[in-house]
Amino acid sequence: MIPRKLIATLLTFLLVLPSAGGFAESSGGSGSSVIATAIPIQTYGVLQTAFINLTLSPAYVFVEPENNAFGAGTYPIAIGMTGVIMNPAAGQQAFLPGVATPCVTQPFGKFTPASATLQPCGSYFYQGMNIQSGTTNIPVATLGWSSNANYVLQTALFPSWNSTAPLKSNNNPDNPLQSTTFYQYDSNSTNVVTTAGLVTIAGTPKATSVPAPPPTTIGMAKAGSTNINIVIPGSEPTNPNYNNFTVNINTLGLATTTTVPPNATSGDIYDTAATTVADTLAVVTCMLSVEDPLSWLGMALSLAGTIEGMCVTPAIANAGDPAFPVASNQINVTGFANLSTTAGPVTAANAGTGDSAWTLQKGDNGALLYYPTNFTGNPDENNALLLLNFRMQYTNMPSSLPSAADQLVVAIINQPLFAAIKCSSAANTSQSGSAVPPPTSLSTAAGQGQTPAVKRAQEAARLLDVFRKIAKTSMTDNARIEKLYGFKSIGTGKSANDKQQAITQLKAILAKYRSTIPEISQLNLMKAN
Amino acid sequence: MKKIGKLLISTLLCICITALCSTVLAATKNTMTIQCGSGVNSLAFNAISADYPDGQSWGGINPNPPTFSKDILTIDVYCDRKGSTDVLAWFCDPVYGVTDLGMTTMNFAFTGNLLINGTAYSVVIGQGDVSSHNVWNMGGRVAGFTQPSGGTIVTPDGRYAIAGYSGNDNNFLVTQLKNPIPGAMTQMLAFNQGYGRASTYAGAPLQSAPTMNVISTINIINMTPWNIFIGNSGDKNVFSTITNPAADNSGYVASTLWGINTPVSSVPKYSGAFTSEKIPIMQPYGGDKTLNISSPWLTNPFYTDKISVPASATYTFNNCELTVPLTFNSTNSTSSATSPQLNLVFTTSAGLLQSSSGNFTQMQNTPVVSSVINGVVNAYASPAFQNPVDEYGQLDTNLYPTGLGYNNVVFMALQAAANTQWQVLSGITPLTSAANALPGCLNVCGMVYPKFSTVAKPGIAGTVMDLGVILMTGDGAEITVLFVAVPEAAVGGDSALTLSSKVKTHRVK
Repeated sequence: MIPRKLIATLLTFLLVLPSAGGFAESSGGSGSSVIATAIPIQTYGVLQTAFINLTLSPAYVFVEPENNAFGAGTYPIAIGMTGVIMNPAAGQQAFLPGVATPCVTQPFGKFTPASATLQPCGSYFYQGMNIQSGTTNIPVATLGWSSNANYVLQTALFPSWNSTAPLKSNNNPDNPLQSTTFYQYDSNSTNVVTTAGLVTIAGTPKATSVPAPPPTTIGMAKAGSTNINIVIPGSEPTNPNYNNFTVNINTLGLATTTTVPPNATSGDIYDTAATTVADTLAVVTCMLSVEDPLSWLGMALSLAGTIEGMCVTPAIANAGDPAFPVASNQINVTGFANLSTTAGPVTAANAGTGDSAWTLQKGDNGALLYYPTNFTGNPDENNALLLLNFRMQYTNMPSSLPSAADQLVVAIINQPLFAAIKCSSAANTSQSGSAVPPPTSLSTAAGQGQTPAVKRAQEAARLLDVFRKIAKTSMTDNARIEKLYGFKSIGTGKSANDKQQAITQLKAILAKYRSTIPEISQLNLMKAN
Repeated sequence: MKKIGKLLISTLLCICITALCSTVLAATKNTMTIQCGSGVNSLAFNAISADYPDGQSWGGINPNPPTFSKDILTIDVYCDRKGSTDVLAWFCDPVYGVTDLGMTTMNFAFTGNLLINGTAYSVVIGQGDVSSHNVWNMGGRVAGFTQPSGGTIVTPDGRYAIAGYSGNDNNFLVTQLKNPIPGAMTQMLAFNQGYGRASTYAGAPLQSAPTMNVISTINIINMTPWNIFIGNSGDKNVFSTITNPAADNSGYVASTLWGINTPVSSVPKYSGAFTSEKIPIMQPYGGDKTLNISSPWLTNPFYTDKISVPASATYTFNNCELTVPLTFNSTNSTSSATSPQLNLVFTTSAGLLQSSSGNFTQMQNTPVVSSVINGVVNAYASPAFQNPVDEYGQLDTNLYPTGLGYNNVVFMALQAAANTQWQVLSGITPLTSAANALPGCLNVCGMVYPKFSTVAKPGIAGTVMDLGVILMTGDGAEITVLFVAVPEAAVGGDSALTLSSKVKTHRVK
């Protein structure tokens, strides 16, 4: 894990870097840029994936292999913090149980916040976020940050099981499943063994039957796609809209010679996407207290902290990585999303349907960011999908060897929340010339004194409250705020002048609502000067 | 040296209670405790005999039997302390499960039956002096006691472990073992690499077997809060033949896979939560980062097993084996009660030698596995790998087309030592074929250490977590070793680590 102190230092740097701040409305366009439309992953058998829910609603994560899913109920499709999840039957989706309640099976056809895969990082409905089964969703006035880090999940996905099929042999030389291999499970074998490290395998193999034909073959080199479907019910008490995000893991199958291109290196999109996650997490996690880092809470929180650490060091992690040779072609990851009144997997065919469609706004081969343009609905449903690949290097191998395993980060982020967090630091940066430092240790917690990080988190909560109210009043001003501090601001507005202009413009917007939104007067931003 | 039989002890104790209390009080009181651990509900002790140096005051065990309260058995022994080699010799004659007492004399010793959950185990207990500390030792008085790790003995039936506890010289902890298998426990994967039957054989139809990818990559992923050491500290290179001739020829170095929450300031590129390593074993098809194909990983003779084979066989003996210890909750390969080990074992029939054509160039006898399932010897290698006539997995010209290469068989296994807490990951259901009733094929296996968080850090607050180790192969070219920490379920003790058929599915409406 990247030391907290290092994170603090790096984050401080990021906060003072122009790219992390706001931008002036007049200085840039939408910021839309798509250099690449998919992320190539350097693996094909196992895909390490982290999920982060930086929205205001619980999220439900499902994994849906192709309809010819092989070995339903027999082969794992995900193994991680919530246990072992088996392949579903054809046409079904495997549900990833909640981090807080890993052994609770999701009731069929029903969304129960307590058993959601991911809890929100903050909410107006579950203040304190200690969600218990059967708790009534009672709206509260102010944002409550998560107190248990249940908005993160780490798991390993196995997206490309082979189905049964004839194999390549001299009898069938053209069969594409040429790399399929046999596997034999041998339970509870007893070998001659002394102690760990000293093993002797001895004896004589003996079969009791003759295979004719050979047993079923299994492998993971199959070309095919597996979808991760993330469903987020909106915050409306009745008839909510649903954010439906789909991350497509496209296993490209076999290849005779192939290499995966180096990951994006300090590119504008990758850096800013990583900063997006890191900065949001920096605010969210500072409200937590972990006395025992080896506890479940400590482990979950550290996941968030680690992702934060990874995201602030993309240049280090990716610089100079040569391509990694693989025997099979790699996995490509893409995504799409929409908002509709029906919860359901988004497919490529209907990605553009629904009330609103999310499109790829920014992308390179290390990061993809999908968010809606000109969103006019409930601000709590204005959520974006961010896919980020973190490529790690060896530390105990010759330095000239290629990269180690990739780590995919799937983050869903509420745009007003993101804007509030960005604004909470940008205002301070603009005025003082130095960023508010992030938390310096895991023991920093709400109620343990008003550290700068906690103050910033409180300011972000106040700003979010204000932004939500403005969004419900004027979508025009909401769009202007998003342009100043939302996802559109990413990668634009790099100069100090741009940042100052953004502050000025935001203050002008807020000033219009002083009389109708009293909370504006409580903002540190408006108290300054 | 006084020797006291059971009858004498009883007599003395009666005397102590009735008339010679002053004698008891004159001797020094020595207190030891035995504490109930996981799975242990009751403890009792019945003394049989004792030994102490001549001239020392002996007040016996009082009260006798010792008291058991609040999960702790307290044994008070009244005897003055004076080291004696004779007493130590008495303690050791005989003692089982103890290899190094760490002392040259003993103050006193006694034997008796330690009743754990009502079952009696004959033990000998003694107190000696180590570095000015009065240290207690316990061993088996009958054969069968074993010492799987330093400071811990296991009862002959493998049901209970008795360990020195928490650095307290006077305290022992008894825990129930979940894996009372009198022998190592193995979870194993195996796969065949090579061509199928080239032509009809003994009237059987033409069969096809897979072509292989050589093993090119091992993914090792740590998703736990615990550090995991891979390899032996003394053997720097784990996969010593993984080399990069263009660089420094160093192999994969034994190292710690850092756990979540482990700050590693000296290794900034490690990010704790997702410490993983993709170890390139070999590049299958060449390219710009070609590894040393002429010196591949896992070559002969890491281990050579000259087994008995039919005289007609025309192959050589070049089995290869490599065992990599995994030590949990540790930054070195030293095992202890809080840092248990597993073996990660690779065995091949021919080594992972690759020819320029991408096929293995030789095939020897299959590495052999004698397995016992439910007490029934059911030894086999995969029948798919074998000559169907003599039932051995050796080279057979009917198994490959001439000139196209040969079969190779690779076994990968997780192996736990006997009498440990490791359990087989339950719920594994081998895929079976009704057509030929073959043993099931599956490419995932694992082991679980229940409630490992309480072992790794006794007294840990919060959610109790199981440690899971899962070995998985999606393809011959890619092996994954996953370490996961999963909360234990509140009900039934069944963690989410079960590889069960309870598929959690959901059809989103």
